[in-house]
Order: sequence, then C-alpha cells, then structure tokens
Amino acid sequence: MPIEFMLSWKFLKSGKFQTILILLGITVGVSILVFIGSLIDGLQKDLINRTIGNSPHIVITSKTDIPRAQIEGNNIYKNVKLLKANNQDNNISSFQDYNQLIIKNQNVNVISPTVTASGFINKSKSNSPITIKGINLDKADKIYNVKDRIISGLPIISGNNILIGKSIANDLEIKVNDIVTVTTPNGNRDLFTVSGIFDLENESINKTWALIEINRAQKLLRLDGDISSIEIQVNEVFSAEDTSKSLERVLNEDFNVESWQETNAQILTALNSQSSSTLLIQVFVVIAVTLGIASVLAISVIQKSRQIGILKAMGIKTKSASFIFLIQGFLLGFVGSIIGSGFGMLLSKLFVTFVRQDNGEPLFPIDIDLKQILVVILISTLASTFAAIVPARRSARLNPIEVIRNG
Amino acid sequence: MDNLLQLKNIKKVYGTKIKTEVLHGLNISFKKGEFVSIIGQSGSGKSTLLNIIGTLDKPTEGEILFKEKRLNHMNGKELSTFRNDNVGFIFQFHYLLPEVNVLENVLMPAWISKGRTPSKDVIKRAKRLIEIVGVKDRMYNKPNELSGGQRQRIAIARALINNPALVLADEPTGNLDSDSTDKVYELLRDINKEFKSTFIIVTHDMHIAAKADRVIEIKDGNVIRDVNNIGKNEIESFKDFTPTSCFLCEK
Repeated sequence: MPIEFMLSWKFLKSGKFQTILILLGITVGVSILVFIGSLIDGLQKDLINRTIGNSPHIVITSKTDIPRAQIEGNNIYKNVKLLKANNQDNNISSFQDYNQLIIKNQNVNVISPTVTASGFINKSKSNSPITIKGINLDKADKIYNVKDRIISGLPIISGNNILIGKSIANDLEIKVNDIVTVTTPNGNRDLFTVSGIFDLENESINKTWALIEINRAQKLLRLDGDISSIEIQVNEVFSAEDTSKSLERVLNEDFNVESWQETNAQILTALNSQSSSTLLIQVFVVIAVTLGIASVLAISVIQKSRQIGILKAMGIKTKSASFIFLIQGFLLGFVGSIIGSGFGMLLSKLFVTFVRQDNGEPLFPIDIDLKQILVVILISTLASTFAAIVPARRSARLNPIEVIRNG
Repeated sequence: MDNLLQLKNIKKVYGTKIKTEVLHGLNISFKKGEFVSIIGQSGSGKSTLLNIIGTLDKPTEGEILFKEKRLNHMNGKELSTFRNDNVGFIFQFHYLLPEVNVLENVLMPAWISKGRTPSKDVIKRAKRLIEIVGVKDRMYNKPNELSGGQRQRIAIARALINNPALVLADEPTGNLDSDSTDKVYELLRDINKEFKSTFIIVTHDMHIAAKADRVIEIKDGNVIRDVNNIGKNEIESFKDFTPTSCFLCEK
C-alpha cells in the first residue's frame, strides 16, 4: 500500500469521532442534494409531462387564419388555403415539400400532418360537440401515445373507423363497434364505426377528441389536399424553441411556428426560477459541507503535527505529507457522498411512499436520475478534496524542528 | 578509521532583528563506527548542533560533508531522501506514531523510502530488530500499550531499520528511570558494535556520557572539551566529568 494511503487511512481510523463527524456532515449534505434534486426533477418532469404530454412540441399553422366556412362562403377567399397541397389526391405525400424541409432539422423526430375541425357526434338521439382530428395514426401516436391508451376496442382509424374519448363514450353510451354520425359545421355528415375508445388521462381531451384518418377528414371537411397544421415531436424537448426558430427561417413567411415553450411561457418561467433557487440551495449546501470538512481537517492537521513532524524527520517528502490530507479529504468525500446518495434515494422513496394525495396516489413520481447522482458524488468528492487543500498546505509547511523542539 | 562526517566552521544564528549566535564556528569530525556523546548545559547549543548534523536545521554559515559529499546545497527533497537513507533519529520523547502498531512503527522509515508496503525481507529485519531491543511480545500492540522504556527501545529499532550510517540521539534516556536508562544505553552500545553505525548522543547525563568512546563538551556555542575515552577505565572517565558528585567514584 502506498505510504500516503496507509497513513491517511490510519489517521482516519484513529480519529474515529472526527471521521464519523465529517462523514455524517457529508452524508447529510449529499442526501439533501440528492433528495432535493430528485424531488424538484420529479416535480418539474411531472409538470412538463402534464403540460406537453398530450400536445405536440411544435405546431406549424398557416398565418392566413380564416375559418373554412368563411372561405367557402366568399369567392374572394376562394384560393386561400390553410396549408396548400401540391395536388388534389388528398395524400400525405402532397406535403412532401414541407416534409423535406422540416425533416432536415436534426432535432425533429416525428412530423404529423393534422386536420382539425369542430363538429358533432351523434348516436341515436343524443349528440355531443367534438373536435374532429384527422391524423396519420402511426405518426400521431408518437406524440399522443394513443395506441397504448385504448381502453376498449382496437387502435384502428382506417376507412370509416373512428376512435373516441372515454368521456364521449360514457356520455353518449357508445360502445365499440357502434355506428355513429359525425356532422361538420357546414352540414356535411358521414357514418363511422367506433373501433376503439381511448383514455388520454385528460378530461377535456377525453370529452372532445374523435380521431379519424387524415384523408377521411379532408374528404369530410371538403378540404381537397389541405391540412390545418403540422405537429412535430422533437428529440430534445428543451431545445424545441431553437428548433422552432430554425424551422421558421427555413419555411416561408406564411407559416406560424410555435413551440411548446411559447405556448406555455408562464409555466416555464416558474420552472426556471424554481430550478435556479434549487441550484442556489444546492450550491450553499456544498459550500457549507466543504467548509465543515476544511475546518475539521485543519484541526486534524494540528492534532497530527507531531506525527507529521516526525515523519518529515524520518524523510517523508513534503508532497507525500500533504497528500496524506488530500487523500483523507478524497476518501471522506467519496465514502460520505456514496452513503449520502443512498440516504437521499431512501428519503425520496419514503417521500413517494408516505406523502400521498387524498386518493392514495403519490403526489408526483420522484425521478431518481443515476447520472445526476453520479454528478453529485463527483462534485462532493471534488469539493471535499478541495477542502483538504488548506490542511494539506499546512502539513507541507510544517517544520519538523518545531515539533521536536517543543515536544 | 575514515571520517564519516565533517563539520567545518558551523555557525548558527537565530532571529532576524535581534540576532543570537548559538554556535560560533564549530569544527568537528566524526569517524565511522564511533560512539560519541555530546554534553553541555541547556542552552549550550548541543541540540541545535545535532539538528544541523541531522539536516533538520540549516547552519547559517559553514559546511557539512557526509562521506566527502557536501550537504549544504541540497534542496528539501534531496535532504529528505538523504535523511531517510543515512540518518536514524532517536528523540527524547519516543515520537512513535500512536495510530500504528509497534511493527508498523519500526517499518515506517522503510515504508517512506520505498513509498509503499516494505518487502518481506525488510519486515523480517524489523521483527529481528524488535527482538534485539527486547519487545518481541509487543509486536502488534499500539505504542500507548507499552512502558516508557519499551517505547524508547522501539524508537531505537525504528532508527535502525534502514541500516543508517549515522544514528543521532537527543537525550534518548532523558525521560526514563535509571534502570531503563542503563538498559537503553547498553542496547545502544551493543547495536553500535553489531551494526557499526556511528552514534552521536546528546545527553546531560554524565554517567552515560562517560561510557562513550569520545565525549565532546559544548559551552555557549563552542567546543570546550573533546576527550577520547578509549583505553581509559570507567572510573577514570567518570572522574573527568563528574569530579564532585559521582556515586561510582566513591566506591
């Protein structure tokens, strides 16, 4: 064993009380770091999920925001389309031009062209207002995760199949395989077979959404090849803003490109200030722990000055003499932060287990991020090694003569 | 016998504003294998001299030659290595590390020179030294479980582990009762004969001093006597140094 290691270990072992005191300090500090970190992370992720879980990260719409009915009723607007397609075959491929431009952006993950319109659904004599969404199910599924959340029936929308929200089904007593009528505001109506009922865990969506194939929606709404919006899912959720800006540059001026951040600016400001106050707390915890370690180690150098002096007389190098304390700082930081992380995770688990909503569900899922914990361990270990610099320098400066002369 | 160590015009001044010259240009040579004691009253400068010889302190003026090599211009790192290789220290207070056991204490200088756990041969040597100093049954005890005499013996074993050419002892028996003092002294003598190391012992105990091969007396920073005892009988040398209060002389 290297001598510096051996001595720092023996010194730590002999000063049990101090060692335990420092370890306790680091453990408490680190467990707070981990706990607060995962608490705030969980809280924020939960909030963001609730906010954007059921919505696309970026929505591209036309700037010419004129209701369809108005366009059709007035010849002046005859040629104004929402998003103009190149040909009339009502196929998604007609949007290839935009598709090509958008897909070049590295962050874009899913591009889902969508037709949205309001309408009514009725079965027997009861009816209910709905939002008709014409989608490509495979693409939209990556945004809304519909397929996994079908609670009865099958996720099929091809042909005259329709998927409806749980609350619509409850209100109108619709079951899978029932035939329903969908009516558009301008009076077009068609019959659809309910192939499945979904629950997107959001009451307003469950109460209004009806999903049909995009081609079918275009036909129903007499849209030719037009769509109302392009919905986009990105890889890096938090760079959606940048992506939306660069898409804005690529596409021509007729388009509105809006990221979820713009739509939810207020929540984001709140989250940001929460993050910075969390960071502030964490920084101060690290500083407090570092100061604690530094002061205890500084005392320990004074206590061990006789030993250091005698070791120097016996020929130990100045560098080794200071390493003894750096290693102590490192060991304390490393061991303490590992124990602390364990405690922090335990604390988080306890929080999830015991702090519950009235209905017994956890308040929000706590997110224990292993990468973040590794960062915490790294930072604490570095801080505690750093804290040992002052004692280490003291040890380096110590003159054996003083010790020997003064006993 | 060849010279192991030569001191040339060693001066030591303490303080910067008010200067106190403690040593006034000492010239002393020490031979290989010699057993020398340095005596003098407290404040005479004998401990300072020993610290300068051991390179723990630097002389203000003058030079030290060790095996014809000048030590003055070595830096801290070179001096550390020099001390580790060539000098064994025995202090008035044993200065064993309370954190490690007896065997590890004895091994410490070897541990320092190698930088990591010493080899099996060195460990064997350490055990033998502990046996020689007679504390074999306390090998794995901590120093605070030993008596004062035992601790000082362990300190002696520690000073010898790297087989140094020079062993420096500052009042090695100053803290011991007269029984232990005699035993420790006998031990030092035996080791001097067996290992052929040069011993320089600072003491104010005239009985110890008188038993050395050579006695150097220092007063106010000057050598006032340098006596060779070889060939004299004990009583004669005692009379030289303790003319008035020697209990042995009255026998």
